[in-house]
Amino acid sequence: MSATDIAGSTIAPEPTRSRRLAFLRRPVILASGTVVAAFIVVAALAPAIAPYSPSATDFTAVLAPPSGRHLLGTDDLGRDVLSRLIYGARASQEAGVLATAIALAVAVPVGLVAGFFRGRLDATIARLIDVMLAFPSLVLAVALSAIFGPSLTNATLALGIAAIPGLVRVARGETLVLREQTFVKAAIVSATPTHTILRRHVLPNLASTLIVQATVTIPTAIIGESMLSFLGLGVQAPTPSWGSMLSAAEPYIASAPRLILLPIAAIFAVTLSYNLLGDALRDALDPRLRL
Amino acid sequence: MALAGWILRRLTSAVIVLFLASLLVFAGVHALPGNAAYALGGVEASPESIRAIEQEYGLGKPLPVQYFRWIENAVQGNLSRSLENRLPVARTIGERLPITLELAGLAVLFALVLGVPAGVVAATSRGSAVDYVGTGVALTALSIPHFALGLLFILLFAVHWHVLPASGYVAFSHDPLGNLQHMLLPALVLGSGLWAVMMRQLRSAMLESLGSDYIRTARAKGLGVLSVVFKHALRNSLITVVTVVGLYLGALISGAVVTEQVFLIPGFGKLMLDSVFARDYPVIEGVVLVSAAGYVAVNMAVDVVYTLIDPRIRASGKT
Repeated sequence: MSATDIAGSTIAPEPTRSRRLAFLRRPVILASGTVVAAFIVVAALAPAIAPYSPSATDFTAVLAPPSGRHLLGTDDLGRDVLSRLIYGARASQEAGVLATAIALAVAVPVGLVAGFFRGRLDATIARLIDVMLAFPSLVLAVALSAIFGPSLTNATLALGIAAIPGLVRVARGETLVLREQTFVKAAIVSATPTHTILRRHVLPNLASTLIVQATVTIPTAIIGESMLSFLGLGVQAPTPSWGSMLSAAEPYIASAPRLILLPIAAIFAVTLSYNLLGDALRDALDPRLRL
Repeated sequence: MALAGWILRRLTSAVIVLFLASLLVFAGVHALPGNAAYALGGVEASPESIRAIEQEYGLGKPLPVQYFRWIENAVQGNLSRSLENRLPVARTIGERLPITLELAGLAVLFALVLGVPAGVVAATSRGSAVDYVGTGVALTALSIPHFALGLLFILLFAVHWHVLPASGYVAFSHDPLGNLQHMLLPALVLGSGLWAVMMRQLRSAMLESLGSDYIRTARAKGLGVLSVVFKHALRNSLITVVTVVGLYLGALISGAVVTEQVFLIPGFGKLMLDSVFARDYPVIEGVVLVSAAGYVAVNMAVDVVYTLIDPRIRASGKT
């Protein structure tokens, strides 16, 4: 906060490239960005990095403590915990990114149209959003998996749908403000086609807000995925996920607490980094907070 | 008279929302692939039991007729019977709901008792160590899922220190102290997210009101710091507290499902989850309908509280 205040007052008002990238140098963004980048790389390269197959059982080494052979030990079926954590990143990654993409794909056009045209259409959309909000995300996920059967895809879909209302509100609110700006009014009176106004004038100005929102939606979806998998409504065995690793480890909470602590540490590190990154990006990109 | 009109408008929209929600639940269960009677009775059901199910649930009738019959019964408090144990769904929900309400009530209480002072202190001593610690703890709480925090608490308080029971439930009427002992950890876990959001939102709302003109006026006319903070700044930030609690209700319902699963509390959330795994469709329908109704009702209550706190909302006549 204070860092941006200083940046805003000392650097020339002309937005040069170095100023635009200055926020990257801030330590919080650097640290959290590194964790997020590492998470993305690990998830993408899981088969190359993981020392073992995540589902390979070794019954001679059940619940083995960390050793040179198994850096983080093994679980109750003798599976390598490190490999399962690495592969578990994939489920989190998929759920986080895809759910956010689904939500953005629906929410942005809807929010744009509602905020720009207002009137009856806007009122109808607001009503629909209320209905969606009446279904807490987990209730929705529970309902979807009751109908279609539990799977990562259905969990991701449910998390994506659950994120739509919040994003619509953000997109709509920003559009309402932008609509009253002189440059949009100028475009309207110069008979620019509406779709061009929305695409060329409104959408680019929404981008920074949407980027920030997306950075906050991803960790929410990651937490949601781990929760659904923990409950048995997400990733199905034997595919590893941080959430399902936790539910499998529950009986061993006293004898092998590391099976509980390691996945929690993974979830925590990734979601905290996304949240910090989102906070820092908002400080850096939101012009209202720079005043 | 403006208020009556406002409440009427609000009620109408609540009914519309509920209607659409019920339609969605009904469509969801009846859009199941295959014959609904088989879905209800299971694939191995005998022809006689299929006919009995069709009879009991009125499945032979057209869908709109079925829907209105279901709603008609639901409004009268009749949610048909569970496929699992044949008990009336409404009665089961009536038994399980109070447990979850106690849990949620305690969670909100924790969030308010811990979150409001934390937000006020963080805002009044902005940039201090207290502010950083508070903000840090809040961000941490937001980054740990409920169930993970629950497992950590069990590990610490039950496995490691043996000070609180790991899981289970005791009725309040049976053993009040035991009930609270069993509820303490789950309520803390469920309240953690709300606490964090409350602290963060209240902090920024307080910062905004502390920087405004009326605060400067209040200070200038010689009012004490405490009076300014509590009677002026906090009062004007209260609307934030109400908004946060209102917005967080959905997450509270989801959180209750997970928390009850972790701590094995036989509440409404556990009923919801168990019914899904048992594919007990009448229970699923009832549970989802009741949670949607509860959500809409509480949201309306939040709106009413709004108008009590801030008369401007009432005056503008907009929701």
